[in-house]
Amino acid sequence: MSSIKIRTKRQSGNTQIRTLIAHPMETGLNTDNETKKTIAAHFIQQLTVLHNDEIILTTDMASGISKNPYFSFEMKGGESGDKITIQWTDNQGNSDSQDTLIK
Amino acid sequence: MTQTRRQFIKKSLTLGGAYIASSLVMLKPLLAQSKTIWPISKFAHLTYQTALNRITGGQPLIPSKDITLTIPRIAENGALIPFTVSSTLEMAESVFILVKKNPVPLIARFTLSPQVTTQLSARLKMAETSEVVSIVLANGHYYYTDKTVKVTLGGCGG
Repeated sequence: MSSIKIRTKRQSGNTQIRTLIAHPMETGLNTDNETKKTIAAHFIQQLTVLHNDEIILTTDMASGISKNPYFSFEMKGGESGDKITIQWTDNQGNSDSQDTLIK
Repeated sequence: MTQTRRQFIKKSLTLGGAYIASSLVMLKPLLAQSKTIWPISKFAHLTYQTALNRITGGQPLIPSKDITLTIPRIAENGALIPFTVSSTLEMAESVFILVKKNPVPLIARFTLSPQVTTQLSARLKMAETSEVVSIVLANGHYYYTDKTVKVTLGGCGG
């Protein structure tokens, strides 16, 4: 199952895109309570939003974003059936991508 | 040994070629990784002021009433603070979010295309009570607005 959930909503000519990503977003500063070892930093570095395969927004981030990140963006226009793609890559080289169609 | 000198050279050349080719394949992911340069890594463990100078390149910050930063005044849990930045500034290119007293002050940079309105929401972490600054780059000028958030329980290794 994909780690990305996307919801789109058209309202007053614009399209609201909301996304929820399952990711630990570890800062690298926390220690494990049992082993007393530092938990390795593991966070999303870049999030890209595409509208019909065209990049409309990129977000560079660090560990300052909360665990299981939530984002909400607003796009001008947007028609029913347009494709919205959201991709992310993290500092450990993992990545994921998810498509959705605007309702 | 029936192998002639010629055969031996031929064999060693093909083996060598295969070796080089395989090492190139191994290198490929490394090259791909270095291509996607991650700008915020340059901001790790910098103080707020140095991070700010690196963003603006020494340009002054202009206080603006056209940027609205919506964030709770008191946060019980520093690990999850929702915020919204909206602005009516024309031609906004980038939006930066910084938390002054966090170990890594720069939270995120949003790069906007003209197709997107300046209306962004996300959730951030805060280590302690601090000011949250949102900077909008529009028409080559850096506009900002800030708000103090009181944190009762830190979210970074607390």
